[in-house]
Amino acid sequence: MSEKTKIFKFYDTIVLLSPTGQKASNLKEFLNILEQSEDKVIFHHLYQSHIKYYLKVGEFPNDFANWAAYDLEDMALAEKLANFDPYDFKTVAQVKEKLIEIIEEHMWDLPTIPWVRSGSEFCFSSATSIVLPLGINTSTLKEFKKALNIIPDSSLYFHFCEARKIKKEKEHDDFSLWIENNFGKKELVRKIREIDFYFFSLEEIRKKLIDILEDEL
Amino acid sequence: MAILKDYEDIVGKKNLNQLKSLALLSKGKKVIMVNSTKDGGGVAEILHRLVPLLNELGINCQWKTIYGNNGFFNITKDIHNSLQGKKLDIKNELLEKYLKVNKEYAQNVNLDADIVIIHDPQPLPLIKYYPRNNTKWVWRCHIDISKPDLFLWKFLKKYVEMYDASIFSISKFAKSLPYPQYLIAPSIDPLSNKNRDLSKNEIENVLDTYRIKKDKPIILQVSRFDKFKDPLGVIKAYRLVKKEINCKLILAGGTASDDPEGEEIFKEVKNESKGDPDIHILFLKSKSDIVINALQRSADVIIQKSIKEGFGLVVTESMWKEKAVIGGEVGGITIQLYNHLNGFLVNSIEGAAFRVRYLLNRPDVSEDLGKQAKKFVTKNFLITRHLRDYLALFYILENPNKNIIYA
Repeated sequence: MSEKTKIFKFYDTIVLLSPTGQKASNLKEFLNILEQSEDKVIFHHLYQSHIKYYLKVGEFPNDFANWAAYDLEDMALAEKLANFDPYDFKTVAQVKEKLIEIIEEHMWDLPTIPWVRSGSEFCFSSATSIVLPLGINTSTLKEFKKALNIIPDSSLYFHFCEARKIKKEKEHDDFSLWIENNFGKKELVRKIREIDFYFFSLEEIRKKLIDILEDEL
Repeated sequence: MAILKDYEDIVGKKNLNQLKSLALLSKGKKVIMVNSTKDGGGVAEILHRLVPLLNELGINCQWKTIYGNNGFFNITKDIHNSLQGKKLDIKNELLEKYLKVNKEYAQNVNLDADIVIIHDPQPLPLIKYYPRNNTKWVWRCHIDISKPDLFLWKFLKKYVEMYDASIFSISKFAKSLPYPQYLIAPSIDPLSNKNRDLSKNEIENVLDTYRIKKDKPIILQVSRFDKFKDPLGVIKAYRLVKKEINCKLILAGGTASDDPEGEEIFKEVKNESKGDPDIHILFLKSKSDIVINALQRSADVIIQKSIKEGFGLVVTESMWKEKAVIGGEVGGITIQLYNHLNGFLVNSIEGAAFRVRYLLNRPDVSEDLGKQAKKFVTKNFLITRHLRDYLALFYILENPNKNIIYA
């Protein structure tokens, strides 16, 4: 361990969902509510899919796209919303602006406003996260790999997914940042950053990370 | 009774450690749960396990039930049904009586605590009659109130709005309310008599007791005898299946002390099934957990053809036993079952019959769906996840208006 190596402290996050009570039964209503929604609502529906229990791998990567596909049955809109990457933007406010633009443009070309059947309304929600230290600290890559086997899914989610957006200046996940800052290891960092977590479950992300580290060590 | 450590083999050490860390944040906090019965129904079942486990984790949690006679529970059953959308025009004098029972109970009970959690509508108005102090009051609504009867909702909303927060099982049930609402799905206890593994002998004993032969495929619905569970619809679906496949149907259900309607519906169902020796109607007394467990494990296909449902824990129990379940596309069943992934959702008698036929013809698919179902429940609907959500809620209530709380 080099003198300047900083310890990696694992944190855990417990997320409790908080519905706003607002529901949209057609695309116009959806857009209106979206325009008035707080950032935390947009954040939840676009970024926190991985932590929600009903996520099925292979589906669209965010709540808005899933609703457009399966309830509104507007596949073109679902595709646009799925391919839109909220991580390309610095702030949630910018994300919201872009999102509204996509929906407005899409609606412009529609002959009628699409509705959902009763019971399939989009239910807006936000979430509260409690972040607490897990009590697992590592200072070498070997220890780090070992820790990856024992941390809960929620900790993996926090460091690999949510952490990218909690601090605005951050562009990458906590793991690759720690490795880059303390060990260099450009190739290892590149492989970790190449994991497109939109398309994998937390279980699969964990396995990928461990495999990459195993190759390295 | 199982202690926390007993769950390690099922959910893993990391999940138990998470609970312990989270519990430290609210150690010693006094929490009182109030509902209307200790006997029968999903809420009582959950509290029987949740309360001792919260205490084991260092939370001072007590459970109290509002007293009431049959008259009171007749009214609250109507309130329950109206909240689920049935138009009943409950008379004002009955609503007055409902408030009176709550008022009397509030005068005789000690609810001084850090957090009071009121379950369902029966004790909802207590908040009006109990002196306000620093206690956080939370209304935990287990039922489907997405389309309540408007008159009744206007009447109850006054009381709902007095709370500091509400909890719903799924986001569709959330309302426009002046305070935070949270989502906490209910759960089952994998180690209870209703869900633990049973020996072959235990299962056979139950089938012998009820004179059920395993000589043809068994279709099962376990639920209270309640219109919203559509037992008559299940019989009709069975009759459609029976035209194609020789099978039998078991309708097994109990009743709860706060549900006076059960016996009447039971008679109706019994009448409808007359003359068919392949229909078994079992009226189960409370504490029939091993019987339910054995029936679920013996069934070839399990139905929960509800037309309204808060969550549908009986679906969860069946999924836990690796069964392919066919559920009505309503309420909390929709966040448990996904077509072709871990079961089926249906919207009609014909739909239920079609899926039963499919599963009876395709035991290979049925087995795969059952395996996925168990995995899904293990991850999302066991008591340990429920404990986690409650512990999170206790801490969040102490830190309002924050999206991220660094502990």
